[in-house]
Amino acid sequence: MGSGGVGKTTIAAGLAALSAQRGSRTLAITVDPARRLADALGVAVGLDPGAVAGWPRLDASMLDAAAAWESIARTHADTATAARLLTNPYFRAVADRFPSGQAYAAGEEVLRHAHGGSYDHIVVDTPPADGGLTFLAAPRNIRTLIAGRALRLLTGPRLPGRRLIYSMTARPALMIADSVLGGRLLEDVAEFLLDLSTIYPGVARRSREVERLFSAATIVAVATPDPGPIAEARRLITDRIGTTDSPQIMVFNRVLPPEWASAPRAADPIGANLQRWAAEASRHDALRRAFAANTGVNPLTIPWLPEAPGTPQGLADLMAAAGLEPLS
Amino acid sequence: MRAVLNRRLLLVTGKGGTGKSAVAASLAVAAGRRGLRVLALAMDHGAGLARHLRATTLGPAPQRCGDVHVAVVDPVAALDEYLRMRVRVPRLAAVSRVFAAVVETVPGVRDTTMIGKVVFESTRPRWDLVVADAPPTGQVSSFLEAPATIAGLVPGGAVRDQAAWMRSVLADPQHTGLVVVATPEELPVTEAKSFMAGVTASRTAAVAASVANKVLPAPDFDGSALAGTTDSSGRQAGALHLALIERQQGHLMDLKADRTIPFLFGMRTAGETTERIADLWGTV
Repeated sequence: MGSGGVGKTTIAAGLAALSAQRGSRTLAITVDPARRLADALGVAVGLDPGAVAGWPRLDASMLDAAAAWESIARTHADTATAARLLTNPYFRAVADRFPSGQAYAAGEEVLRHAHGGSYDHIVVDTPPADGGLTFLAAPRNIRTLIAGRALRLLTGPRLPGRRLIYSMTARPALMIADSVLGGRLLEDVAEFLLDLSTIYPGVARRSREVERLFSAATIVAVATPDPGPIAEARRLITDRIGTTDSPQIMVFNRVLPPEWASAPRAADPIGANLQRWAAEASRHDALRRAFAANTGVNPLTIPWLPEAPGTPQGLADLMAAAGLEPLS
Repeated sequence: MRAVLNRRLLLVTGKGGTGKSAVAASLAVAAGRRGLRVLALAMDHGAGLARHLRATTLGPAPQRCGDVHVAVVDPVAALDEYLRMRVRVPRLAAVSRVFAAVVETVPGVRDTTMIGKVVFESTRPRWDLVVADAPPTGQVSSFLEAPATIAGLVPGGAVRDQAAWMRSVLADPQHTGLVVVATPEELPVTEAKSFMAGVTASRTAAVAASVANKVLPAPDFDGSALAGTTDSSGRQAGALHLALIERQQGHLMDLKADRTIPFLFGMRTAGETTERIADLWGTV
């Protein structure tokens, strides 16, 4: 997990390759646009787990947001309700844009594979939103969406069949709202939420299982040595301290060798160039030390390379050199 | 090319990690130094923009911070403000609660409310310039297109009229400009280019400038000088620099950026970064 552009996908792919190399049956799942994982592992990544060529214990798959919501609807609703939901314009809008839905669907997918018994380890490459916090909060957020405030405000406590009964408190508001929005928008939304609410019992049960799975997961937070990404990663790690016994792994990616900071510099263009990079290296080292002091978690570092390795083997070697051990 | 700051609204976007917030903050600071009345708006939780403007915590109400004002766009607060201005009715609390619930549920409404707030602030006489630290390129299109989306869902009424007004303000190149930030790497450049091609084709908003950020300086040594040196750290740093430059050139040619911001070595704080970049805007 981590914010955008820090090398999350590369590190997820590398961890998966290293785990497979050490003998574990491993699945890498990306919730990010799949091309990145495909590039990193050199495979075509599809919706179903596909084998990585030359790597018998390593599979990769991606998650499609809209397809994920469809599967949630089909799994948890009866056929007629599922059909109504899937043709509702709001459903499409929610599926495309509600990040927690996508993350939750990934959670259900991970749960399915975890129970399936085909894999020893599953490595999830999370979407960058909020550095991963949205992903971890998804099981709870989806329950809130489905049985949330909107539904309670727009509808009464009892739902007699498909007939929509607005609650008394919402009624005057709705009359005004209708005049502002110019029509049946709110009513349509409420109808949609009613249909959505029928999937609540199934989702509530499964989401608690996903929550348990997430709380037992090892979080690998990734940041570049920059204040923004580090702040996101720190939030991710400190939010979890005390709520889980699982290890917290912090990875700083694109880090310069700390020894550059104090290396002697020649009085020539190469020495002058080193002086600039030494300032940068010294900044990286200061950030790493500050992170360790503030969180008690000592970051592992991956060197700044002109280009990430283009093969699973190269990625696995990079992770091993950084001291990222495959998860037990 | 027309000066980037010579508009009422700048929307700064780019792939995550390209320095979007730093560029947005620096544009605001540069305009503030010129004596313009500037509002910087964050369209996320605001932590990035706050850090770059040396502000503590940001709220929906504009607060002064050096030469500029800064605030976050909170969709619920923005909707409440809209309702208070447009719908003068009793029992507003109940209306707002229902609307807030709808905002949480229907993403088109949330996006429209947020971009609507940004557009509204940019038309107020209180500000000469509004700079928005907009969502990353992957998500900003849905905000720019939200007024059209909502107009498609709503049959008529005040909201539809508002949506049409927002679309015209966003599409007016005299008023609104997009600033698209990319670092000279493959994915950021690809994303920036496809985003710019998309908005140009759909005419939702005009691009004021594409910006190449964190561009490494050309080295004044070459590979053979490196081979001859006895300084091992100097050789490693030089080799990394040359390898990065080689890749950077292709991506810069591909992007053809209107503006270039150099890589700032050893910059300790986000605030310092902002001021250094603002110095650069000062010269254009």
